[in-house]
Amino acid sequence: MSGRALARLFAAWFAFTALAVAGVHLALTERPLAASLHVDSAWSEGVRRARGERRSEDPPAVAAPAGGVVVSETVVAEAWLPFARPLLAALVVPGRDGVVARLRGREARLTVDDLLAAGAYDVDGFVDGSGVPAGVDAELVVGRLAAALGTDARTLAREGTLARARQAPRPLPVPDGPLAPADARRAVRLLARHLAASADASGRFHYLVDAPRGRELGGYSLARHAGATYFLAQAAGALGDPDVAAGALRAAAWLREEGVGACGASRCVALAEEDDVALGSTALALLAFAELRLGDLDHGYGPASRALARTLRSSLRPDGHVVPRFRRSTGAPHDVPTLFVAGQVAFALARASAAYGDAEDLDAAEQALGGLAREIAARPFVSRWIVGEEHWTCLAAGELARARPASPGALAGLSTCRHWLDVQLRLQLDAGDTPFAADGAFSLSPFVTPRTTPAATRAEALGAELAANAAIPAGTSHETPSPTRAAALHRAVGWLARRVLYPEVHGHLFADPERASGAMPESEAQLLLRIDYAQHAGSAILGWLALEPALPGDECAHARTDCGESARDPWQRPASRLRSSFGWAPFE
Amino acid sequence: MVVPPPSPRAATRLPPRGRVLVGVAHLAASALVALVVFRGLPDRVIVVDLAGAATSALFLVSGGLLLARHARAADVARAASLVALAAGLGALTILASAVTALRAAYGSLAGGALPLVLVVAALPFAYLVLLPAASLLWLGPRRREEADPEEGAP
Repeated sequence: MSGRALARLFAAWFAFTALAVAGVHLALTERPLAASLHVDSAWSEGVRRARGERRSEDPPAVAAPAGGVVVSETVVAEAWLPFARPLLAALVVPGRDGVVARLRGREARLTVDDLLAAGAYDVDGFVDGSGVPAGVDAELVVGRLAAALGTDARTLAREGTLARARQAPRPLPVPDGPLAPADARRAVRLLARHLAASADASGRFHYLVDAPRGRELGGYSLARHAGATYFLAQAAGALGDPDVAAGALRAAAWLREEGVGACGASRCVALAEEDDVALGSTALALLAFAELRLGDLDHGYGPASRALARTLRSSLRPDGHVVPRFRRSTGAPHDVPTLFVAGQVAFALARASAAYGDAEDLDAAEQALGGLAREIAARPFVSRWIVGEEHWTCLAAGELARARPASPGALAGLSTCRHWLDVQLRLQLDAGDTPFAADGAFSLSPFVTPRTTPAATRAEALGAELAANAAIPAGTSHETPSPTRAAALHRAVGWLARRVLYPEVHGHLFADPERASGAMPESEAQLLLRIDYAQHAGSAILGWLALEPALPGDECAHARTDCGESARDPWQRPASRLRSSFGWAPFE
Repeated sequence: MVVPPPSPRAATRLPPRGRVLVGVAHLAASALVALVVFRGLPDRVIVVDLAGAATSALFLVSGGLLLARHARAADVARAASLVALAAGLGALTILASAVTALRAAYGSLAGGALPLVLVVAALPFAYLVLLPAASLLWLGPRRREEADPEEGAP
């Protein structure tokens, strides 16, 4: 082919593609409605009982059912939506768009609340088998709309039309902008009370709950049970809330009775049927028991704590390497890479030392943290460009810096943490990066609803890093974090506080509002509740509240001068002092 | 395997230089297309599978014939390049349309999505647009006497 012929071919292709793109743009771009459409729905027990629509600011078009509420949603724009499954699944934005079907002069509508209650968002929507939960369940949407129109999906697809209905954002009790401490305290209180209430009389949590249906799903993790217990103990100490304290004690008692068992000659935390035991559960159980002691909730966990600490210390090699697993059947350590464990072991031992004053635990924590930092640094390419999950490392560095501010282990752990956060903060979203309300969230993709746990764990790590930095004596040789860190933490906890399921906002969506209110969902569009979502979010917000009086203001978010100095050591205030410094009363 | 000596007819059809390079590139593209379509894509779509299989097979045959200096090597290389170019340009049109569709629903997507789209576009662009376009330029115009040396003879 001659160069001229090839150039003509490319020109023709370019013209065709430009036309195709223009056509797609015209067809799919939403158009604002001439007047916003208010959709009023009467809800009770998580079920929509009635619906009405109005164009004006008149009173709601339906009456509240007995024991229920009327909720108004506002549709502001519409766009044509194809029936083709992948397009339909991908083009409906989770938590922002509803869908309306029109057939022979009739209309049926699924609003955002309908789709949330149906669990229709964030399914395997973009591409089958991709493993990326996004978009909407196309079959469910078309099936429900067809049923509402009294027809079947095939007839609707053949004779009807679909439109994507963009809704105005739902008003939240936490306003946009910088999070206020009072809003943060309310969010923590709700999270803690929710988690405490989800521990049954025996102390076992409702581990994973489909909130709209009020249905408990399967599975259980002792590590997450222990982590949730740790947060409850933290929150009980900070809030002075007897319900939260009682929940922490129930959960801790269950953990000691049902979780702690023999691992050879030592004690560890594992399910009865587990043979290959990861030591993360043991570390987090020790953390929870130590927190009960530090919060003056229960001093009776000393023997169990010391036994678990011995197990963790015995997992340490002289070079600081933590052997993360243990085979019960052979009584032998099992050295295979296991996410989180070394950081969890270092953090738990440091915290246990604070609770029980055993210097041996602190030595072991420093050794483990130093070993972990050396192992990461020994893989220069990998550690520079590919990072793992190091929030537990940051928490360990923060705790160790509090106890031994200038120790090599603390400084090495802090350096590892700092590099990890440098990378993670590149993934923090700004308002406008995605169609979701995502300012402060962390996500790899603008198409996927931001998950709450990444924001929570990174906020925990940011708080620990800032606390560690404040604890390290002036003149110690170490890199100080950027002054933008405090603003990043503030934005992250603000985003988390807005994701809490507030009873006055989300209660109507749940079959059992009491059970779901105050929870932290997986995302704003996927109302699955797992105990660690609330744990990490609550711990992160508590960490920010502890630091907040000493942090620079948000004017430092984009400034790089005169914002780096924090007041000293807000992290190590005892709970009673935190409580008084926050200025809220117990049982508030 | 004994490779027959190059026929005078094949030697006149192919440009004098670059035969081995283009042949190896076609074989590599064949493997790459097969790998991406049948191992890399998470879902099976019949149109994509057929286009991928045809492109991969044509590149495989073309690369083999080029390396063997077969008499039909130029014709097959030209056909493989045209099919691959059509598939590549079609894929880019679909990608541009998909980005436009997602932008309609998800907004500007700020800077985060742009690198993602460029990476996705760069992969097929290299071996489904650049390589076939370069191959077609290398092969040059298809002259009538090459298509049928007997035609038009006195």
